[in-house]
Amino acid sequence: MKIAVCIKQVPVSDQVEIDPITHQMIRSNADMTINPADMNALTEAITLKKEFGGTVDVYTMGSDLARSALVTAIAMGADEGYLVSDRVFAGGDSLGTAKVLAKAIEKQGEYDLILCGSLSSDGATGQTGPMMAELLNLPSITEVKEILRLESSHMEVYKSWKGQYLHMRVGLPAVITISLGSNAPILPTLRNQMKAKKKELFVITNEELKLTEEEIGLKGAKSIVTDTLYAKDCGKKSIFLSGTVEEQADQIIDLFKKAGE
Amino acid sequence: MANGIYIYAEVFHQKVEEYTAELVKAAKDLHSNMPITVMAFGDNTTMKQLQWKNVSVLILSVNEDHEFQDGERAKILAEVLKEKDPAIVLLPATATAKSLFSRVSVLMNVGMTADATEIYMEAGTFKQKKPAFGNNVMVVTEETDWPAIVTLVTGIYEKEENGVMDGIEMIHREMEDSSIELLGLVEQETESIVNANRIISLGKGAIDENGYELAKELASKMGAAIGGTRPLVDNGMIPFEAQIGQTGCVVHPDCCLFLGVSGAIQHTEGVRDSNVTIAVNHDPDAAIFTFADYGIVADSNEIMKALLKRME
Repeated sequence: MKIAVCIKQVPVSDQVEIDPITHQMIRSNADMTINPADMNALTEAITLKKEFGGTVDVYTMGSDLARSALVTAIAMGADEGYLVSDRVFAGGDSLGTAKVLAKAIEKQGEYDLILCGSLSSDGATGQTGPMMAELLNLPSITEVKEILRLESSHMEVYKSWKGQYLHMRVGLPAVITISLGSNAPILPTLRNQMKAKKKELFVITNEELKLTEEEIGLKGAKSIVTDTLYAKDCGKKSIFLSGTVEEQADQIIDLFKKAGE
Repeated sequence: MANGIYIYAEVFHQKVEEYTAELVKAAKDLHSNMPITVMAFGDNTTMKQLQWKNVSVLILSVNEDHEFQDGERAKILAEVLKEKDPAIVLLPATATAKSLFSRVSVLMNVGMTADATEIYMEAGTFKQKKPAFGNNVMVVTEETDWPAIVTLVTGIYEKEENGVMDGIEMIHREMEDSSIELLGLVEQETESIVNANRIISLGKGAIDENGYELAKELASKMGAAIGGTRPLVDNGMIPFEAQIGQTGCVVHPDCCLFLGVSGAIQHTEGVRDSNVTIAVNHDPDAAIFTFADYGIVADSNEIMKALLKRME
């Protein structure tokens, strides 16, 4: 079983700065971590590998700073890390990102299964996974909570849908996006982290992918941000409730009572 | 020249999703003079549920019911949309519609703007407002290509009243074979907070274990549901279904109490239709105090303990 996992680095905190001119997040100033749902996708892939054998290759698009995400993935149990990195990839929308990742995956060869997290904690569009699937002409199931069965030609999954699970079957290869919280992420040991740091990572640039610049990155973005509005400008201010903690509690109880009337 | 607004109506088990009426309202409120069409996979039963004044209906009738075969459905949608050439395609920001139209956007080679909370026209340009990641920021987006495919967060716009539809067209298509098969439905045991009248929303400031236990006790005493912000879901403290906000659910309680919530816009967007909002935060400068009706600068745990005592 050859598995590819696509991951993304996201800021640890939501207190990030926004560039007033490009309206993009200033990533270099923020503490970054692997997107939580991607941790679930990685864990799922590594668990499948342990059970059925095979390899797990991890892809991330980003600058040199994204290397640490790949190192963590390898320390968790992935085999190879691919840093898909080029200045022309930067600033893209979800379609641009999907084009880059799909091309990089296609170039490395045939995978039986491609996993992604279902949503990122920053952009949160949930679009990159299914877009990649369409670009690769593969079936996709999103928001998968559990992989029930894996055979060489197909798999069965539970997909979360409206407070229920859909029990679905899909032929392989396929693209599956894993829901946040669907498993307990593997925590790499210190020893594995040290080992992973020594592992050489593959770097893929646009020289290999040969994507037209008009199709990707900032130039290719078809959904663009034209303005940033700060919520604090709205001028609203809460009415502060004073008194002792007990008095404040009474006021809360009163407000709850009145609101329901 | 591209013209018209197409709304995609989600239909599951022959029932049109209610939020379709919100999308119709949002499209009408644009006052763009463009004709509005609602499109859906289905049949005559579907058509009967798509009745709004000055809105046409386009039914995509396929040989078999394949609600979750995104790849094959996307091909049909992209083909039809290319032929109809609308300027705007609106869809609900649900996981299912997003998955499907991600594939449509690839086939049409256009972008897709996610999770708009407001859409409007400005000097003839179609624009969207949406919360962005970061310091309480809303961004304005627009698209550089036709059609503009935009997903709209549900639960924000009012529902358009039913009326007599404008006209109807039915297109028959053969669905290609898919390798996706639906084998069954399994119930999941979680309570929905979407319809709760009272909500206690927890943020990072109330995240320690003691705080969570207090909140659970308080919620059961007050008859409130527990919701929370994204970081609590990321930490596994509350289930995804209880996440309130841009990527979670939109709620409309009579009263909402925020405990230790910083006030990030991704969260507050999901509660802005609450009747009365009260925030407790130890930081007097927390953004939540520019959102909530009432504020208390205090430690959340202390307030919870006091509330529990008062309700003994």
